[in-house]
Amino acid sequence: MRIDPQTIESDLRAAMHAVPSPVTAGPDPVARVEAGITGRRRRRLLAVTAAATLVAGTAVVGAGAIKQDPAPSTTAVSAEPVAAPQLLRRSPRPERQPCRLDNVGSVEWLVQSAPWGLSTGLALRPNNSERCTLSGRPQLSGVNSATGASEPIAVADLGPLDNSITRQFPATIDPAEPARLQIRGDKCPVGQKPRSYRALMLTVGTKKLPLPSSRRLTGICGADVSPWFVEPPMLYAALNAKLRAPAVLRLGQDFTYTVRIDNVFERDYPLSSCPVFRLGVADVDTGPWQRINCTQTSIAGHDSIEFTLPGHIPPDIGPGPHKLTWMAAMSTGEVAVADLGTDGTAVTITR
Amino acid sequence: MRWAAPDHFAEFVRSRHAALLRYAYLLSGDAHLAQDLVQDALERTGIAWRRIERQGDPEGYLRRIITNRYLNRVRSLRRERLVGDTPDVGVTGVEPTDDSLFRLLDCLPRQQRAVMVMRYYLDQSEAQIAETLGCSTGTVKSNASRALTRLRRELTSDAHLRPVEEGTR
Repeated sequence: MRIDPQTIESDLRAAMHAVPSPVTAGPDPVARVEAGITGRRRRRLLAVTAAATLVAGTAVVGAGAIKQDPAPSTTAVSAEPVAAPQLLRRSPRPERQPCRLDNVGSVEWLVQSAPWGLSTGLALRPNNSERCTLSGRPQLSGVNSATGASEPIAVADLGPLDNSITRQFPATIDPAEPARLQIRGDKCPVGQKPRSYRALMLTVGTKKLPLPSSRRLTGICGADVSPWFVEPPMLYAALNAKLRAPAVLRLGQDFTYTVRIDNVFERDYPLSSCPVFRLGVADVDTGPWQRINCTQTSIAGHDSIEFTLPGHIPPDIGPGPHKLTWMAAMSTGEVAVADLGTDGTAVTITR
Repeated sequence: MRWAAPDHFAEFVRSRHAALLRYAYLLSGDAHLAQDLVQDALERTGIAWRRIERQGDPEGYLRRIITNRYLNRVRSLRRERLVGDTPDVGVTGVEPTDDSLFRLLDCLPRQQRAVMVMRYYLDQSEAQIAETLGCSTGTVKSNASRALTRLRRELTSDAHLRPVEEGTR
């Protein structure tokens, strides 16, 4: 449909109404919603139970403090270490057609960009234009450093992956989203001679996928290659957070910073328990998860709360320009990340 | 225990699912993201369906969730973008079916795009759009004006006539 600058408004209206619904909803969208809500309630129950356990014994003013007005000005508050909260994440996606790997050149090595970001590791981005699924385990081969021969690397079974990272199997991914896998080397039992491999290569069907040349396996007798998986993103609360801190900070310095959380929508955002948060410098944690000792029990619509919190710069990070990163987990398990648009608050760290 | 949809909600989903998908698709320009946005909005709405239905405009409520989640989602995806030691591989975008419309809309910032879709697809007033976006009517007016200026400029240049190149979306 042609859109003319002279008649742009009527043309836009006509063009938009002419667009067909693009996605087949599946045979029964109701069943899909029912399954989604069932899973969501189960996860929320887990998160709320965990939060309730953590908050027991902390300062809750009592049944009378159902709702208070948001703080009119910045409140300096303390925070106390707590266990890591359970965060809500994107639901597992139903499997789609297998990903095509025709145009994929190699496997990437991705580096974590924030303490809560996706993890550092190997990733593959199939060049598909639609959502697709990568499943199964690829085969691993490499050049034996001792013989110079390219050979398959013996398959080892090292048990389940560590559970510090949330993973969903198989990897059902959108265009440009990475599918991940993890390779673990298997130490040799006594009496067996360890081998080292370089120029590592994954084989998926007939496709050969080289790993970055910096990735090597040294002193092993085999390797455990995980199935493909995705690390699902967190679910974000409908809140904006902004952090203000001194522009220059010293290594090892204790300082205070202010976080303002805005509820930009009409509805109140409930705080059934105070948010827990983590402060980072780039991808380095500055300490454990902490709970804000707040008094608010909700953030009113179109209102804000603001906290002044203590922070600490680790003594062992490199001086220079850095970003302070801050994430809060709300009682629902949703998260709010400060300064999303700029990936954090710019500071300069000096000696 | 499995959650069972109330009858009215199930009926609503069956009758309005395609329309909601189309709205989310116009908003995002991405069929898969549209599907996720609608699914997410329906899950959020289904739990509190009786209350939302009592308020009288459940579809408006759903569209508000879709819009706000879309605007938030764009930010969250930016947060989750990883920094690797190799450059991202470009990919060709998913459909759109109507190149000229979607290519035009793609040149707009997300808030301006949302204003355009609500104004010309939903035929909403500036006040309704402002309420959905949580901003003033003045902001809606300036967003609409800037968006139209930008679209006219795109239409009179020949840049939009070129096919979208791989890796540019």
